[in-house]
Formats: sequence, C-alpha cells, structure tokens
Amino acid sequence: MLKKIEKKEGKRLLNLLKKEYDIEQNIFKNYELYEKNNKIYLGPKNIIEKAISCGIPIYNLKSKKPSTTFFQSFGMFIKKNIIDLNKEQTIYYIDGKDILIVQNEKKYVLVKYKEFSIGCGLIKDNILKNQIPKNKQIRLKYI
Amino acid sequence: MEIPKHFIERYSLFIKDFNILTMPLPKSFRVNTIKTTVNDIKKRFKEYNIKITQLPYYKEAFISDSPEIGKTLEHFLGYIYSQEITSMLPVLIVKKELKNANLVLDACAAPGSKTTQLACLTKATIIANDIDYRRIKALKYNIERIGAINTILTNQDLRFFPNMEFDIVLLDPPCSSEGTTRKNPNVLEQWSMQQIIKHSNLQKQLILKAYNLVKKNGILIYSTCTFAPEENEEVVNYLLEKTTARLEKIIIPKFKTYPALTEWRDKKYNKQIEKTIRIIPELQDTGGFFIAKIKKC
Ligand SMILES: C[S@@+](CC[C@H](N)C(=O)[O-])C[C@H]1O[C@@H](n2cnc3c(N)ncnc32)[C@H](O)[C@@H]1O
Repeated sequence: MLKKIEKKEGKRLLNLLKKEYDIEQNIFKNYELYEKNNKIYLGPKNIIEKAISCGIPIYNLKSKKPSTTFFQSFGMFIKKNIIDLNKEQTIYYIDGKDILIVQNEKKYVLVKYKEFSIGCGLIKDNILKNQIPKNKQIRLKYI
Repeated sequence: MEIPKHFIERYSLFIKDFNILTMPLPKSFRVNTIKTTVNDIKKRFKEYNIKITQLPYYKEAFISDSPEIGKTLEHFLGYIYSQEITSMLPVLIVKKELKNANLVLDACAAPGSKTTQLACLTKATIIANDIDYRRIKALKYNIERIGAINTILTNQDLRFFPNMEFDIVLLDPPCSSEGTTRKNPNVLEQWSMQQIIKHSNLQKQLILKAYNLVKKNGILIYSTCTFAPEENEEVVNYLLEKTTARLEKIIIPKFKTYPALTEWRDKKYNKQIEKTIRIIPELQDTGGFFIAKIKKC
C-alpha cells in the first residue's frame, strides 16, 4: 500500500539527499513523500485512499539508490557527487554499458553530459556501473 | 488492407476519401514542457538536421516523417512524447480551464498520452485511472518518464469510482477504434456491429458516472477514436437526456473539423449535439476522432 511518510522520516530522507548530493531543499516544498515496497515517491500534497502509486519514484530504501527518474527530473538542482561524461561515454552509458573511470570510492552519483542529467550511476572499483533501467536503454544516434 | 464495402456504405455520408484510411499516418510528437521548451527542441533538431514541422494550431506539437526521432538524446530524456495529433485535441480544448483547475480526473487513462499532456498544462493534481492493471504499468512508465509529479494512479472500474468532485474530467473510453486504421490496419478485420453496440452500452454507463464526478460548472470532455455515431453523438445525446448537461462549442483555431451528425438512421439527436466535433482523416491527414465538451449544470 502507498503510504504518506511521517514528517520526521521525511526530514531524515531529505537531509540524507542534501548531505549526499547537496540538493536544494525548497524544490520539494510543494510535494509530499510517500512509500510503497521500499520505494520513496515524490507526489502531490494529498492523495486518495484508492491510490496505488503517485508522482515519481525518487529513492530506494533497501539499496539506498536514488532513481534515474529522480536525477533526470532534478539533476539541475544537484551540486555534489556528479560525474561528467563525454559524448562517446554518454552514448555507451545510455546503451547500458559500464564506463571505466579513475575513482573507486563506492557511491551512487548523478551522471551528466554537458547540462543534461542522464541518470544514476554506481561508482565501484574504478568502474561507473550502469544503472539505466533496461527498458530505457537505447543506442543514441543524435546527441 | 481493403476497406470493406459495408464500412464504405455506412460512412460515405462524411468520409469521401476512403483511400486515406489505408495510408500510413504521419508521425507526430509533443514537447514535454515540464522538462524543456519548444525553442530548445527546435534548436536541437535543427542541429541534428532532422526535419520537424510545428503545427499551426498547437505550437508544442510537431510532425516529422523521420524515423530517427527515437534515437535522439531528447527522446531518451523524456523531453518529447510521441502522440497522434488527434489524440492531443481533447486536452488542447480545455487548455484555458486547466489553468485554474485544482483536481482533474483522466478516467480511462492508460497508456497515458493524455495524462502526460495534461501534466504539461496544469498545476492541478491529476488522478489517472484505468481498469486494466497491465495497461497501468505503461501509464506509470510514461508518467515517470515525463516527470509528472502531481499525479495519482488508481486502478478502478470507473463505474465504481469513489464519489468525488473534479474541476475537469476527461473520458476517453474504449471504443471500436475505426479512426485508427492508419496505425492499426487490422482494426477493420475485427469490426462488427455487435462490437459497436457493446461499446456504446458501456460508454453510456461511463459517461453518466463521469458526469457525476464533475463539480458544478466544471467540464467533462468525451472523446473517441471512432466514427460510429452509436459511440459518439448517441452517447452524448444519452447524457443530455438523462441530465441537465449543456454542450459547449469547440473551436480549434486553424484546425478543420466536420460538424457532428444531428440524426443517424432512425434516430434524431438533441440540437445541442451540433456543438460536438468530428475529425475526418482526409481534412488534415490525421486519424479519425470525435470530441464533445460538456458543462455540468
Ligand atoms: C482509448 S483507451 C484510453 C487511452 C488513453 N486515454 C490515452 O490517451 O493514452 C481506453 C482505456 O479505457 C480503459 N477502460 C475500459 N473500461 C474501463 C472502465 N470500466 N473503467 C476504467 N477504465 C476502463 C481501458 O483499459 C483502456 O486503457
């Protein structure tokens, strides 16, 4: 069932996003946080009892992973833990491939190409592990 | 695909060029203004050398016969949304009302072409409802892709939807889809009068419920992608008989429409039905559609 997140827990989650990604807090002020099956959703202020989902998923409580949907929508407000790819790397990444990099501290990052927020990535052992959902991956020709 | 004789006989009153029903439909898309702007899309596609043509009656919409649209970064990022031109019109005609709305219901919403379009045009909370759970998955995917935060998904048979009051309700119910032959050529193979009657009966139940969900002075939009008057004028006429609903005139500047029928076979419809519109493929190289704009009184 989709349920509204308590104020205190909501605050904890937003602080966590602030700490990890230095994301502006006031972008959330017109919305509310909800939870279903360990996924946090950002949705409208009020929902109805029959709601089975709302808005967009932003964070997975189990894997502690922000969603690609979230990063694509709010990437421009993120100031920390960003990795910039070049054109070729971006094409590979959107096609579902991992990218070799020189960073090994394990963390989820915002993947960017120029001003475009591409999605979420996982840095581990000098690899940017692909986190683009399979049903979104495509071979780009125009970028 | 060959157009059956009985189909031609039935609709020759308002379709003159049946050949167009067998021709592929021009591809069209809409700019997702939640994430980007029309000018940015124009600029980027110019750089890509992909030809796109802006529609004179809807500046956020474009047609393009390029098969390359789906291979662009903008497509991946959800900056654009592929949608048939006719399917964009029901939402377009409530553009003004959407500005002041607080609560909107897309009553038969999956896969979400109109929900995602609504989200670009209003700050209201949108409830997107559909009876079919599998189709809701596609609806959810599209809502997330477009980044429509102010949406709620419900999985209800509209006839049993909880009683609430909406500023605007959009009812785009299942229909015999005769206007979609240019996209799905096999539609006419499954065509039967029984199907039309079956749809018409359900549509009458759905339109009554949808009307009940609209608040006083609010708007109900009824649309189908079919030609059958039993699923169009007759359904709206049924609502006019059962309620105090009033029809509003629909004007889409720079877009040609065909007047609705005021009679069909042995039936005569309420004079107000003239305010509904038919979209006939040959007029503008589109699919076929029917739209009514209804005010709750
Ligand atoms: C023409 S399609 C809607 C297309 C959608 N409005 C769009 O633009 O993407 C009709 C939808 O009505 C749904 N439907 C059928 N019967 C219904 C009912 N009783 N209550 C709610 N939805 C229903 C179907 O599952 C189907 O998804």
